[in-house]
Amino acid sequence: MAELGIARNRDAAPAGFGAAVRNALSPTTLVALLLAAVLVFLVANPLFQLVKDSFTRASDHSFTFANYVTAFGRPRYVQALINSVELGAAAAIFASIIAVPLAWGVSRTDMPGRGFVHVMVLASFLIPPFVGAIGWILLGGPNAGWINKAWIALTGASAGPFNIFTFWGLALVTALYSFPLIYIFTKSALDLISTEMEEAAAILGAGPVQTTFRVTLPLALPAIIGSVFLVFLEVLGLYGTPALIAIPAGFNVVTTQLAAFFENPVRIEVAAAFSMPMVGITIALLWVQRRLLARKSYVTVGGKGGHREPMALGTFRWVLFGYAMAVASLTVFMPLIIILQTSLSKAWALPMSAANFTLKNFQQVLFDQVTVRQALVNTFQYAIITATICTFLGFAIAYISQRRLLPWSQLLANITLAPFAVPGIVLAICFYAAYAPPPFSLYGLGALVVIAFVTRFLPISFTNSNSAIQGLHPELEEAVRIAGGNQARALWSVVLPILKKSLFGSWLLIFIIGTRELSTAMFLSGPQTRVVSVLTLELSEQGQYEMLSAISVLLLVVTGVLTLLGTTILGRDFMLRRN
Amino acid sequence: MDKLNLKSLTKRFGDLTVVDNLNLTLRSGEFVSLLGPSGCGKTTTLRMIAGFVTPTAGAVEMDGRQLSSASTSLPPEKRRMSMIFQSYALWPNMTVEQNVAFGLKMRKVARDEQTRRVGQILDVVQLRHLAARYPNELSGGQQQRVSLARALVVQPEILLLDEPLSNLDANLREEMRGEIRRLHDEFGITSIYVTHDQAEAMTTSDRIAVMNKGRIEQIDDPLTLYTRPKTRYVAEFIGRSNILEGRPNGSSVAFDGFEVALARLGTGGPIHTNEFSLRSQNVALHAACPSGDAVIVPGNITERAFLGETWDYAFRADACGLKVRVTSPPLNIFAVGQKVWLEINPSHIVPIQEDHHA
Repeated sequence: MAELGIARNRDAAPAGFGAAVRNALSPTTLVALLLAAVLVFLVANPLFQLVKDSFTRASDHSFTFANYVTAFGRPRYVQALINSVELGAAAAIFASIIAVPLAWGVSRTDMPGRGFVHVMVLASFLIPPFVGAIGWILLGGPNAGWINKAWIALTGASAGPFNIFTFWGLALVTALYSFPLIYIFTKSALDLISTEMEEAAAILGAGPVQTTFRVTLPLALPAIIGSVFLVFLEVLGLYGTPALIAIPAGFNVVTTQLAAFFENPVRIEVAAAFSMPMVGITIALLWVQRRLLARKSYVTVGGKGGHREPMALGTFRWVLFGYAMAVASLTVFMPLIIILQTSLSKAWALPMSAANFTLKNFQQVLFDQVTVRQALVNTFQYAIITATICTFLGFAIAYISQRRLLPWSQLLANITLAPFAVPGIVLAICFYAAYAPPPFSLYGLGALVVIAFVTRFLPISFTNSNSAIQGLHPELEEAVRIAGGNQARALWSVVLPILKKSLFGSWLLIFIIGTRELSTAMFLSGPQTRVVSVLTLELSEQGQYEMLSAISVLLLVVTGVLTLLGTTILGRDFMLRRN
Repeated sequence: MDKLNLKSLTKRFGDLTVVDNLNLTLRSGEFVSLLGPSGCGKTTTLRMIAGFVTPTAGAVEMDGRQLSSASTSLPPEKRRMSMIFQSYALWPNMTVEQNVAFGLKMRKVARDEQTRRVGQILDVVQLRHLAARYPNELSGGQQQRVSLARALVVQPEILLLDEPLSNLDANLREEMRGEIRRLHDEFGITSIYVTHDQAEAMTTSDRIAVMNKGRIEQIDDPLTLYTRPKTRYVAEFIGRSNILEGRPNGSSVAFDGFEVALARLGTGGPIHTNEFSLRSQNVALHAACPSGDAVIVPGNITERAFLGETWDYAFRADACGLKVRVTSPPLNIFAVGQKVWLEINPSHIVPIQEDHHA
């Protein structure tokens, strides 16, 4: 009885032409076919266009390898690639040095203020990387940066010691806003390790330090390494921070080099070719990362766990707490204070005083400057539409693939996840290649930005829905069917009401990251469809830091309010339920 | 010689008393089970012995030396004990060999001595050919044996077993409880075994402590526990019991429907209770009135159920309200409503104390 609904669909395929037609007319199949068409439009076609364009001569559309020769023929371009890999490695190492001790401290020890430290890490997670970068430009600029000014005032030296516009400055700032990923993975791995694992070591004679280094950390290692890879990939595809810091510092990374190919004249074919190594590295590392985390036996070992005693660190707990607070100052306190102060200043380089205080920046941003206001409206509009489409689509695909409503539903799931392996900036090139030229001619329309965003965030809403549906027993729906309701009724009366919170959670998450998405929007937004993140880069080039800070403050306030809303309704860690 | 002494051991979590003034002494080499339902405090007791939980009052002593008290507690890693966990807690990042060698490494045993002893113990549990495997590549029973080997290889002062068989299926469980007893006989390690399964406790233990609400109701060898339950709780927890009401009346006890001379109860000494236990296996049903000097009560069958290996009958006496459950062999077949005679050997009627907690 329980298999009835599933069995019917499975048998349908080989059951002859008549049955196939009848099956094709069933509403579920129609919906599924529609979804397949949508996925081809959103994912398959753009990715195909990217590969195709990289082998196409721009003048006569013939096949060629010339784009690859151009893209990798100049040492300057190759150097950008090397810089990216080095930056990714340096940032990933910095990030793990920051993240692992904090995760261990919060998960396993009696460090004071563990809840506060956790919230601080989440706060760094919420700060858009380019906002953090702006904060650090104001703090660590070679002459006017506040840290250097303080240093000069304290020591009487003629120049400050710190220059953010260097490779290491860039690596540090990048790490400061990507470490939460490692923290989240490491902490949840540590949380999952059964207490009995550690007790077994203790009863056999291992002290707390030995237990930590021989049992606890080795068990978390696959998760740590996996997340380090993710950070490396994130940094590889990062555009905002390098654009703000690397370009003034006089070197290029892959993403800024790609952007250069998009300056007039737009050489999309060369950009497509140049993005191939990035896609290759991403796919390879994601594969390795999956392999590492696939050894599930590492974390799912059961047992009654019992009452977990946090490890007593003695006075060292204050050292660890100090470290956590230092990290929080670097990622949250210092940048946010400087941004807030700048947003309320007439001139950011001047000291804080009543004479320097003004609210004019906010007035400008919200009312006077039409371009800024337009960008704000666009940003929130696109984010709302993207979040809504993503949540709906992600749920539909997850439901169909989980309940195996079609023989090839697993393929739908895989296509949906594919954009995860494509950095945002490359996705932008894909969409530019696929839909900017005729017959679609979407360039300059908001729709182009929105569909690119949808594609980029679809894996998130899909995995969210997928794990939620996994936790829902099919018998709940079968009970509706046996009571006389159809599949749609089961969906509407049982599944959706149960999952509404988790769907709201993914809507909120996608809205928040949608308001800050930069790299995907970069090449796709025209003069009328500019979003705030793109605008900030332009304002930064013009040195308009006061207005820039005002925009950042607005963005942070919106993010903060929505996060608080989500936290109240869904619990503190609602953003972290991603697989 | 006493190996382990629990003295007035008490553990409270807030207002909740989990272990209540518990006293227990283990002789060297003895195998004792703590048996009871979940929440009776048996695991907490074990974890206090291991040093994972600090007692609220009382003390844990080993070889006359105090390990735990309310004020001081020797950390687990200094107690030289071993423990078998419910989840086995094999470290998935280490091979079988590395898992087993871990305790020896912690005890700073020389490298070649480590290899020798690990090989030896893996032979004992018949797993030497799997030494290079990782735990997730083993079956449940093999994992269980690795965890036994890991615990035994260090020759612990005391072996603690925390529901070690509860994750295995029924057949394997029977095999492993024999294995545990065999290893105990081979190495003679003082052992404490926590379980809620009376068959496990019966087959492995020298003595069983039946626990209820943080206290020991009765501690005895398995047979005494079965034949001479001291409290109603033990009588009902171990096996199946009929609780009969009886009024001591000078030199005899009057039950509903029959009377038995004190001397024939075989308890000796005076009786201070109105409650008596009668095992359902220790009474017999007959289709005709039997002869002999046993107590005979006529009545009929009111309910019956065939349980596979035995019959479960409900008997009601003709002349009075006496109701007795009877367990009979499969071929002793009676119909519901059939006239039968119940035969009771008075020496199986055991007086039980008032419950501690009544």
